[in-house]
Amino acid sequence: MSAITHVCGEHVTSQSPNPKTQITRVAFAIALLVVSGVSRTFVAHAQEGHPLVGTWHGTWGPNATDRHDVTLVLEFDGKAIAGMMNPGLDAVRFDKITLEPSTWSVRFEATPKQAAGKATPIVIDAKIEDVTNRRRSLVGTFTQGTSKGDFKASRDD
Amino acid sequence: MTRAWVTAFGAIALFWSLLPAPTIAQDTPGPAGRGVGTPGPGRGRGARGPSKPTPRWADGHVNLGAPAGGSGFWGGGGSIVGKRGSSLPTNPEVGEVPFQPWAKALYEARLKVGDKDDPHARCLPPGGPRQFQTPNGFEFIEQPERKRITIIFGGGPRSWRFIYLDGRPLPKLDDLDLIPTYFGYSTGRWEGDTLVVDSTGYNEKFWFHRGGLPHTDALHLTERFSRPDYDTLKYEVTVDDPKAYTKPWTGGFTVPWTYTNWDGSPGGEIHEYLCQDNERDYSRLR
Repeated sequence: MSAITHVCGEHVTSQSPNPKTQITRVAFAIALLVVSGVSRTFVAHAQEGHPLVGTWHGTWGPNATDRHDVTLVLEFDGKAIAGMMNPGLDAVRFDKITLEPSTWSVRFEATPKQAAGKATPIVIDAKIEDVTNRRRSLVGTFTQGTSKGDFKASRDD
Repeated sequence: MTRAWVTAFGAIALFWSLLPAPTIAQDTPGPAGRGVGTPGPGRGRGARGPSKPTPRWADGHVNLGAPAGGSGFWGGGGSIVGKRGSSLPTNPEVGEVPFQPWAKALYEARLKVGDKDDPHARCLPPGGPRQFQTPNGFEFIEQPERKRITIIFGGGPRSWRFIYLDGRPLPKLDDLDLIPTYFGYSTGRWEGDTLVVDSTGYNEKFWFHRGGLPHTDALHLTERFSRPDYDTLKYEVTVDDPKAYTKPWTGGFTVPWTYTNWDGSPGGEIHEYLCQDNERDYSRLR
């Protein structure tokens, strides 16, 4: 079955995808909805409460030109800090997050599975800078397997 | 499902995720520090004589405002930590506050840097006990026909807060319809001559106490207001926030009745003072 649709004045012929493709797309859409809903819940959290809670954006990389975007979404239930990195289809949930308030040092640990099924641990060691500021920063190092670089992220306002 | 459906579904999801959440701060830096809300000279009520008795309404319950024909308002209060000034002698000292480790470290860091990062210095509303610590005073307005009390504040962004006395329950913190606010949601009741108010539903965009005692969205305050004599408001609050403190704790202070305007001139009215969020030109003025 096919249909002709007008898109911006152009004739576009579309064909109904096979059922397997349809299921994949529906799953993708549902996943997108769930992830966006979860991230929205997290984003609505702290500004002045626990200093790690909220959304952080930044980069890591071995030098000034080779950078990788990083987004952290963190929450605190009163006992433990939890969260994920890069929410979305490639989200990585942290196994463990530890904060030492006397120095504001933080360690994030995750074990994401690669396409081949092999796990490559991620460790971020950072320090919260300007902790009283609502636009505080996390500055430190990012290590994934044999790759290592500096890391910096700022708390979203 | 057609491709158009899937595309629309994805677009809606993406749009939803990009929408600003209702509690995201809209503030930008403005005039900071003690310049905001600094009291004028000569405020107060002049020479103190013996206080008049507690005013009451016709039905006998305590009037927390000015009685008919009177004027005045409540001035600024003290601290719920420590015993100096108008603070209650039963208050805990800082070392006795049952902080979680992160909250203690954050409070100490805030004390060290002063008011520079205080949201109230950027004109954001002062929730919790902070409402009663701001200069320019506050006033209770009872509306028995609506079964509520409104507290209006002359300081900061000149805001107000409702306390419902109609027996409604407090919202549950896990209610998806709950939008956390600066002043939270308050329900009250009279226990003898004391107005007891429970509040939850606070956002985390403000410091609930001068100096920056930390709190989280789990904050539950139980406030007790009483007026032992005409000139004195006694304020006591129990802070219950299991994400920031290891157990509930209580502190308070007294607040003096102010017979004059804030600048000491006759009148006894809260004056017009506006602290506006997003004010950007102050630092450029000469």
